[in-house]
This record gives sequence, C-alpha cells and structure tokens, in this order.
Amino acid sequence: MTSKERVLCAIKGERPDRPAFTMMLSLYGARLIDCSLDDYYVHVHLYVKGQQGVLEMAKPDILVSPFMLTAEVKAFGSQIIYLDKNPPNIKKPTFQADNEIMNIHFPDIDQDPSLGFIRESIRLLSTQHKDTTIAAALSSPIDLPALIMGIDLWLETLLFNRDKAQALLNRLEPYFVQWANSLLDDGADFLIMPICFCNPTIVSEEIMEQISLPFLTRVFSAGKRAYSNPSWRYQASPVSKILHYTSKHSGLCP
Amino acid sequence: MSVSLQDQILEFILNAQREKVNELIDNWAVENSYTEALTLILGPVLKKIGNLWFKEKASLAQGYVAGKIAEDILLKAFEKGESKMALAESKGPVVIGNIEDDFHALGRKMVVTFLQAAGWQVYDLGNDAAPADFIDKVLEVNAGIIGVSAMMYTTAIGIKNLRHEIDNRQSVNKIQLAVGGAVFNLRPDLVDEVGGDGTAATAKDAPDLFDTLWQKYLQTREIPNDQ
Repeated sequence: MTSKERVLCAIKGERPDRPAFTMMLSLYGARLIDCSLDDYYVHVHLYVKGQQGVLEMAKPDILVSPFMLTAEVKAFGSQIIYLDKNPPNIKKPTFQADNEIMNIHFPDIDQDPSLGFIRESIRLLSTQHKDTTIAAALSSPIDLPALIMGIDLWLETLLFNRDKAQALLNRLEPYFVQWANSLLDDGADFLIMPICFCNPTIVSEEIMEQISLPFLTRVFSAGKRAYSNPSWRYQASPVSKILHYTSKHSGLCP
Repeated sequence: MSVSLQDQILEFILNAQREKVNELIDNWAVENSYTEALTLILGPVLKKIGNLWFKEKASLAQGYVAGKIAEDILLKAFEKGESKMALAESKGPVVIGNIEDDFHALGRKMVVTFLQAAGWQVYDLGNDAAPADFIDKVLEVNAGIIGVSAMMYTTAIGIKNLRHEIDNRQSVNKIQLAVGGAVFNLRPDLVDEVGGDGTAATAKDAPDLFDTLWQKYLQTREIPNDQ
C-alpha cells in the first residue's frame, strides 16, 4: 500500500497492511537541512526541502504543512516574532480591546503572502509526494479569535459578552470555510487543528455545550469533505476527555 | 462567616455569573469592608476552586472568572478608600513579569490579581522582560521577590540568565526568585534547573508561595526585619 492508501484505510475503518503513522516534524525539518528558522518559515522551498528530509529519515505516512498558526494571524495584522528554536510566536495580537474586534478585516487568501506561504507549501508537498498523505495544519475557528485578540480578551468576551462572542464567530465562519477549503483545493488530504476552546480544562462545560460544539458542528458541515469526513484532533488534553461531548454532535469526529 | 455565602459564590463563579457574585459582595460590604471580603469570603472560595482544578473539575475559564471578581473587589476597595488602610499592612514589594521572548500573559495577569488581593504591592513588567529589566525594577522599588512566568521550555530556560544576574550582583543577591507557568507543572525539575527558589501550581497558590519566599528573604538579607 502507499501511505495515502494506508491512511485512507484507517479513516474508513478498514484493515491496512500496517498501522499508518506519523510524527509532528514540521519544525524538525529545519534541523535536518541545517536551516535557520528565520528562513525556514519564510521560504517555501526550504520548508519543502526540510519535509523531504523528514520523509527520508522517518518515512511517515503523513507530512504536515507548516505548523505555523502565526502565519494566519499575521495576515490579520498581528505582530509576530521569529525565534531561534521555536516556530514564530505572536508578539502583539491584532486587537487589544473588545470594542475593536468587530472592525476586523479579513485577509485575501489568494493575495496575502503569509497565507501564500502555507498554501504554496501544500501545493509543492502534494505535487512532489503524490503517494504521501498531506495534512494541512490550521487554527480552529473557535480558537482563531484568541489568536487575533489574545487569550484573555477572547475568554473575557466568551464569559461576559456572549452576544459579541457569537457575532464575532458568525463573521469568522465564512472566512474559515473559505480558508479551509482553499487548503484542500491546494492538495491537502485533510485538515488538522489544535482546539483549545472546546476543551473542558480550558472552558467550562456550559461554553462547550452552548457555544463551541454547536459552532464547530456547523462550520465543519459547511466545509469540503476529504475522505467523506472532516478530520480534527485535540492537542490540549486527552481525547478521552471530550469524547462524550462530541458523541452528542453528529458531524464531529475526533 | 456564613458557609452558605461562600458556597453561593463558588457556584456563581463556576457558572461565570460575575454580576451575581458582585451583588452578594456589595450587600455584605455594606456592614463590612471589601478588603475583608477578599480575605474572609473570596480567599476560601479560591482555595476550593484550586482544589477543583487539581481534580480537573474546574476549567481555566472558571479560574479566570474568579480572578476578574477579585479585580472587581480590589477596585471597589480602592474607590471606597480602603486601600489607604490596607497600604499600612501591605506586603512586598515584588516584581512580576514574563521572561524574555515569552508573550503568554494570561497566567501572569491572574497571579498579579491574586497577589494584590492578598495584600501584595506588585510591579508588573508585562511580557518579554529582560533580566536587566527585572533587576532595575527591584533596585528602584526595593523589592524582595521576583516572580517570572514562562509557558514553554525554550523561554523558561532564559530564566537562567536572570538567576545569573541575581547571583552576580551583590545589591540583589538576597532576593527570592519565584518561577511559574505551564512548563513547570509538566517538568517540576525545571525549577531547580533554572535556579528558581519556588513555584506555584496555580495562580491561586501564588500568595502562599510569596509568603514563604518573603520569610526566606527576610532571613537572608542583611537588614534586620524590624527596619
């Protein structure tokens, strides 16, 4: 089986020749090609070269697009900082006050250079490695507000200004669907998202039930479906902690 | 103190009903003080929230609500003029900040609030504070403790530079270094590795930690305690 066939089997619940596997080595590619992170997260050909190194070293069944969520928030106007040993981080979010957030301007996903870095990486990876599954890493739509306005301001909005939180999510929804679909059009086989604001250690059960899960169910239903199901995963806590929540919402699968 | 009042407030906090908590505190403060509300009412409730957190039965959001309520009460105490009385008994001063290249402010802000609620005089340097910034502020305000926050291992390691600065400058080498952040919960051995004198698992535990470190500071500094 090819890697792509193996992963497809796993998603369909069929028996592959061996378990599909991968490791999150988006950053590690820079080490393999002895490249500074300043260059690695700017020049597409270097990122792709690094992932070629990952493929040769570990032979994973899945390669990942640049796991650089800051590229998305940079497109919204946040200041990011490039670090020596980490992916770029957010230095200053786009918004510092909640009365600014409804003035949000959405980036052009076909013109913005930060988004273009992600998209071109996916195009090249999928073209050069046709038998390998390509996963596109992106911010989840429930977390994107936290990235562009700061975690504390998004928490405060969710907790104490529910109408504004809902209004912001409604505005973000079509943008996220367009962004996610573009990554699939570029060649990604599925999407992966770390999701913090649908996690019982981060937000209350009430927020999960009333805001996060219904929103995610709606948004994921609107996107294109690769392999007949959207794929997503949690990073912030074990999957076991959220399974009983997702089971109540059809259309979600961990 | 009415246990049922604390239980009511705990339930309201867990349900993010900030206004209802403020109503209860306002009613109680008519015959008491907001400063007393912080220690006698909110303090025990924060301990319970901390225990729930350890049992993974409370979320970050609920801790955040508690922090905002503490801020509300602090502000009311200040507006009512209670802060003038409180200053005479205030603790510290202490200097708080995120270490260089660290921009994760949420935990630090909650620590600042809980320390202030416990009577500490806090100077907050914000994000991305260089070791020299901490030392300069300590000297300026005559602080006894530095509290430094870092979320990730790669930024937490930078705290070694701060420890180096503290140890090599005679004017500040008695001050205590509190370290905190998610990475220290995941790797407790990191506290010693970076030269920390102590850590707290949650923001709610910071006042107890600072009480302990302040005693150590008093014991080790050259000036007698009563001066």
